[in-house]
Amino acid sequence: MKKQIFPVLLLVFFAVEAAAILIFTFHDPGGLQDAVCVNEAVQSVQKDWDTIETHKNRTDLDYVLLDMQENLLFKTKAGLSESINSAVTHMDTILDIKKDGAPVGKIIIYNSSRETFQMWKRAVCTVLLTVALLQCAVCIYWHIWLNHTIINPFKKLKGFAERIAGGNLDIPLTMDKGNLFGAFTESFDIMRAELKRARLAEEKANASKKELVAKLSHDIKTPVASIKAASEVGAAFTDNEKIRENYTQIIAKTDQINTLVTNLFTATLEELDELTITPEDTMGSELEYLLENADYLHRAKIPEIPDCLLYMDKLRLQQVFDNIFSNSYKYADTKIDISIWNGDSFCCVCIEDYGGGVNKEELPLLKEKFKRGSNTDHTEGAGLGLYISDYFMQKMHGGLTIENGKNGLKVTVMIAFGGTI
Amino acid sequence: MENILLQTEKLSKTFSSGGVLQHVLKNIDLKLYKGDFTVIMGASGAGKSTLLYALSGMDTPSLGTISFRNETISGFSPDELAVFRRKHCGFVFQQIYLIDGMSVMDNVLSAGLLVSKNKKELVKTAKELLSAVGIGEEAWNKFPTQLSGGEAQRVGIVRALINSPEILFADEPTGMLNSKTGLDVLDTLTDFNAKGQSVVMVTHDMRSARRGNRILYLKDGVILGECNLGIYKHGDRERHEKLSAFLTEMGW
Amino acid sequence: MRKTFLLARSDFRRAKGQTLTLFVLIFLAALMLNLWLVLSFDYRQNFDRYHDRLNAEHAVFVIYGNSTEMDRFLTDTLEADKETKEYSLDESIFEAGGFDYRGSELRSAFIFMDRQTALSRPVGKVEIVESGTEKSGIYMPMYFKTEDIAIGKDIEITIGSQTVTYPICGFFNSIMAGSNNCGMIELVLTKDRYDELKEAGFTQSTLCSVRIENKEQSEHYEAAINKAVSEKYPDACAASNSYLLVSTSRYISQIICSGIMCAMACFILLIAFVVTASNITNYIQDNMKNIGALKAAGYTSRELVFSFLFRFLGITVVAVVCGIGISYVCFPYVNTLMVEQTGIPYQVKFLPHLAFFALFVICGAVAAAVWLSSWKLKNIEPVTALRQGIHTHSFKRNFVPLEKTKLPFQFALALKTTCEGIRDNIIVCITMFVLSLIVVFSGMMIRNVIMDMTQFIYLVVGEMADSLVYVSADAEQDFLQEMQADERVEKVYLFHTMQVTHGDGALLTVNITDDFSVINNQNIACSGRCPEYENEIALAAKYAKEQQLGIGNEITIAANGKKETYVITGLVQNSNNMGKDCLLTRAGYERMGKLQEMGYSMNLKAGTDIDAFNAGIKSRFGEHVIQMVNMHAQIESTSTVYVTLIKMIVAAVSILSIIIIVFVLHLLVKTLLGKKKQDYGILKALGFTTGQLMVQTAFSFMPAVILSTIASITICCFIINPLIAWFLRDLGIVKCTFTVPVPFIAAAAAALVLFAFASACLMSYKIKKIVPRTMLARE
Repeated sequence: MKKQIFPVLLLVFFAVEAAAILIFTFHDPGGLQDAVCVNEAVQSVQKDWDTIETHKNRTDLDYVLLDMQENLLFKTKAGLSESINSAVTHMDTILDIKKDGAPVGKIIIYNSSRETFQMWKRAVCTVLLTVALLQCAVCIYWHIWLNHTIINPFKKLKGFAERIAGGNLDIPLTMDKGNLFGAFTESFDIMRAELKRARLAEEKANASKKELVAKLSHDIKTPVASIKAASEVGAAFTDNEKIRENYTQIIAKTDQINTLVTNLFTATLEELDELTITPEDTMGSELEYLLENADYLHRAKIPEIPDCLLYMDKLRLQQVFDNIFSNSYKYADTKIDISIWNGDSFCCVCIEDYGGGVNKEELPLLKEKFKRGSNTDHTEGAGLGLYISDYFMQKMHGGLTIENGKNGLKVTVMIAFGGTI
Repeated sequence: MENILLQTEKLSKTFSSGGVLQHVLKNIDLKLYKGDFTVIMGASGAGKSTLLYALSGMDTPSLGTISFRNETISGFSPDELAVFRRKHCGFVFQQIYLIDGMSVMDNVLSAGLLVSKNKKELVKTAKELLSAVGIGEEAWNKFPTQLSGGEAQRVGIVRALINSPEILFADEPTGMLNSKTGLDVLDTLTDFNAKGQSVVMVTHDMRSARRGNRILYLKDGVILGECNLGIYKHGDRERHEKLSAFLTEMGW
Repeated sequence: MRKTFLLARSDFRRAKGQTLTLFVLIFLAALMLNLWLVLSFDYRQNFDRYHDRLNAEHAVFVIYGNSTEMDRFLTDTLEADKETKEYSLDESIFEAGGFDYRGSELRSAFIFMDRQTALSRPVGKVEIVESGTEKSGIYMPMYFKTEDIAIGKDIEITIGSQTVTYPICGFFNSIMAGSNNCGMIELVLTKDRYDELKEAGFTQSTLCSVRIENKEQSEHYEAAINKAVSEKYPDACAASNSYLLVSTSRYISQIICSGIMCAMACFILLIAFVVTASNITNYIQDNMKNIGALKAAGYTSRELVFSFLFRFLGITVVAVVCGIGISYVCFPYVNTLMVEQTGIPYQVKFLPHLAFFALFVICGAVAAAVWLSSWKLKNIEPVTALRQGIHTHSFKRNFVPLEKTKLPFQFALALKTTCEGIRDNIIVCITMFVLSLIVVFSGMMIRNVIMDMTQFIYLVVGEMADSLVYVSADAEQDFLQEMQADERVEKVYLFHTMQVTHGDGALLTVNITDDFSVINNQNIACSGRCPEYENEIALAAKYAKEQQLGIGNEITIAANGKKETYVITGLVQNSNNMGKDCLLTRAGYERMGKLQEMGYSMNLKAGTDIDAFNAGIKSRFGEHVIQMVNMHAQIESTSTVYVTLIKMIVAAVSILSIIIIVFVLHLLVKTLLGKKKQDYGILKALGFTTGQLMVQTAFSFMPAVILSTIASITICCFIINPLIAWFLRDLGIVKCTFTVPVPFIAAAAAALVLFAFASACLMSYKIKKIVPRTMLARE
């Protein structure tokens, strides 16, 4: 911005000079007489003619009054034309003073245009001189400024280049405000920074390579590999044919065990394999919704749920609650109490009815497959509900306990907290 | 215990994007003690920063409670939290976050004048702190862009400490810095901790973690383990190995 | 082209708020611009259309007497003039009189005509627009229709010294004599009533209506005919009127209104211009990175500029179309206001050429703004842009260092923001300037038109006292002695109105007084001074300009058949006679002939009943008193229309200013919040509350608002008078001397500042949405 100020200033000054000269050439410095003023002077004089001694000038004009014999009657100040002849020489305005239609005297109104012109000339000269001086000042300041902004930074750049050449990359190139070489010096400094960065990056790359190798070697040590390796080592170093056979068998049997375990696992889950359980972290507040859904007869009052994140499969947990509530409806058919509290590692939901509970001996059996309580003869059911519920809860890392409470059967669903696994 | 500054109970933080819930923090129970240099470690995405911002009242938890001394802050309104922060917490950010339009001194004072009405005293404190972290007088009127990263971060620490907060929270304070300037910043933090300042720092850099006396390892929004290292001493070999072992155990 | 469109669309989605603001501003500008265009370009033409439809006259003369000889003379005179196209001469009764209109007596010259004659004249006929069932009565000009003057009601009219009562049969429209601004009012009577009047002994006159070839020449034509007639029948010329005079005088309110609309449209356009420019500059700064990416992807600067053009012109076109549409919805309301004053019905219809002109002007302005502010784009190198346009080295100054400042903490922070946003401050300054102008204008109008009309009346009429009494010359001395002795009279001075002719017969109204230093309106001369000596004259500025006369020149005028030459000492500007006025001293006038009667103006003590006072004079002096006027009542009857008009304008303008300030601040706050989002996030993290930041944001605008308001109000107080004079120059007004109510304006300005603060606070409520974590989340 600053670099444009000087030429602009110079142009402005030049324009002022040109304007001054043009105005001086073409302007008419007000040589015209103010007719209204003149009229006022004449009229006031005519009015006061009989008592001309007390006449006062009411206008800005200077004038002299003469009677018909050219005797001086009145003058506004000294140094005015006091006779017709001198008035003619000075190009003054001469008018008649009339009284009742007849001329009684003359008024000579002073022609001040010469003075005006002089003043005008002086004013123009002063303006021109002042502006020219200012212009000079600007030129000088411009020169100094150029020195400061171009020559000096250039010298600085020279020193910088020498340092770079010498390998010293740490000293940045400072910039001054309004530096003309902005982009140029900037690129220079970027070049320096890039060089430095490249050097650092190289050092860093070397270090991280070493780290990676160390990590990989650590990861390869897996237990299975060690067993296999050990067996193979055993097989290789033994002379005894029988022992080697044993080792080979170990290797074969590990594989076999692996398959067997997998098979076994699959077999157990055969009947449940459609019941996939995918627990995930869920807001504790969801419990309220689940309980409300399960308790469709509104036998229970759902308490406040403590703030926490739970690890559960919403669908399965709903089934668990459904089962517990429908059991209660079926066998007890009373009101139900629910209490919820946060235990050490589980959030416990305790559901108790007023149906008196079951026989003590039957309690452990309730969770087993196809087992039903003794008092259930007249109600339908397969005896699978609590077994599956228990299975679900275990899969969710929680649990299910069944006991006889004060008033009836008390089922506690333990739901794992989120993030504990 | 009187020494407990901050305590959380079942703290969880859940974000949702496009209807999918993402639980970043899960049931965290944590106690922070006065005078500790607590370091929260973990891989990126483990929820370290989220935990830090929840602890510091910068953000409100989705579930659970946070208490500062005996005051529960998790139910505070944004403005109450703001007042809490200005009185009790100091922050150091990874991106430094000095205000570009203000000089170093003004950045520090803009935080200080929020609490203190005694400007004279405050300016004195500010000057002492700045000198203490090695920011010389010539830099006090510079703008953040004119400072190097390390200098800027040290100014950031001074800004965080100007109100003598109970806890200083630092979110990867060396994350944007190169190793040399990073060390300076860590030294500064260690120094202040040695003088009794409680610090909570999040990092995933072992060199930074070494400075703490209590290391918490966070994984998938859960504190997986913690390790007490004792007071930091420079060049403590044993300390380093203990930390390495801990981290290896945690699956670092 | 498709590329450009895509760019524009994505830009548009990103900045809905700004777009909306811009839309509203442009919408308002278009609305005002189109209203103005219709008012000033079509509304006047409507007069011509109506004029032609009724085949109305361009010049109308009322001449006392109605004889075949006179008819023949007139026919010959008119036929002799080659300007004459067609004419009609009809019998009528011409008499001064008055009736009650809007609660006070309206006095004027009435032309009574027989219904049949009035309807069937080939030139200058009237058109009956409403008529009732009455068989006998009077038809009034539509202009005078009020609740009291309605079909079926009776109207009491003073005719000369008689008072008659007529039932109102209906209403008609007459172009040249249909409102009190025309100088004469035509009243149409049914045959029986007219004959009744004729028998009552009122002298008959000839109403002569002429259509001429070139209507621009109507004034000259009028003067020429008047001259010819008065040469033959010296005292026969009763009244005359010309097309030019009527067309101007019937449209005073339209001129005022369109002047104001023009000003408002310009100002809103200016604000829209600045806002657009700043919007684009901001956009370029905020999107440096994207622009860099686009440039790197091969977009040329030209294409980017086109995308801006596309985006902004799109909005502009839609906004302008809406604005023009709404302006046609609003126009009927403006029209109702105007019709009260013009008395000429106007049919609102869509004017495509004006609409296109408005569209063109506004689109041009917006395009210019886009072009000007996006030239920067050309200089952006992709690399610089990609680096977010950050020049690696900053030479910022630390405004208001907190360490040293004595200012309150919050305020100091706000001040820092202020110093950073120079462009915002400029927008604020321009807006506040416009608003200040509106405030000063409204204040002045309330003070000078609604509260105290004196200055307004001086401007229009020239001079105003309480009572005006015309006495005959022989009773003058007695009258003066009595009045000077009467303690109810505060001041009595001669203020008589006569007519003189200039050149080939142009009639000038001359106001004569003994001493211009005692009249009430000391500002009657708008430049130079009032005449003092007998050879001096002050001339109407408009007429002087037309005649190329100036102060110091001489003018020769004639009265009573005697010509005299005067020096022009000053210019006057009252618009009562459409800029054909002059002032003479009594001595000056009497060079041409003695006054036969004198009008004396009197200021009466406050609380004096003027009508009773006048009646007292009448009973005291009897026949020597020729006419008495209650000037207050007279002025009031004519000014009600103006007061209503000004009230509406002030209300409209105030609402407009509130809209403008809200939208401009909205835009600024929004941009500021966008720019400082990160800073606010940091400050919030440090513990600043939403309230503190809101106040801070609002405060940051306040220095600019307060300073510019003070500065602009001060400037406006000085420039408002010349400005109004400039807008009313068509009425012959050169200089206004309205009182500027400083305390009122100061209070209004303070309210403006407070309002700005409150709305800025409200608009920065969005800060609440900036939570520290949103900025911290982008790890």
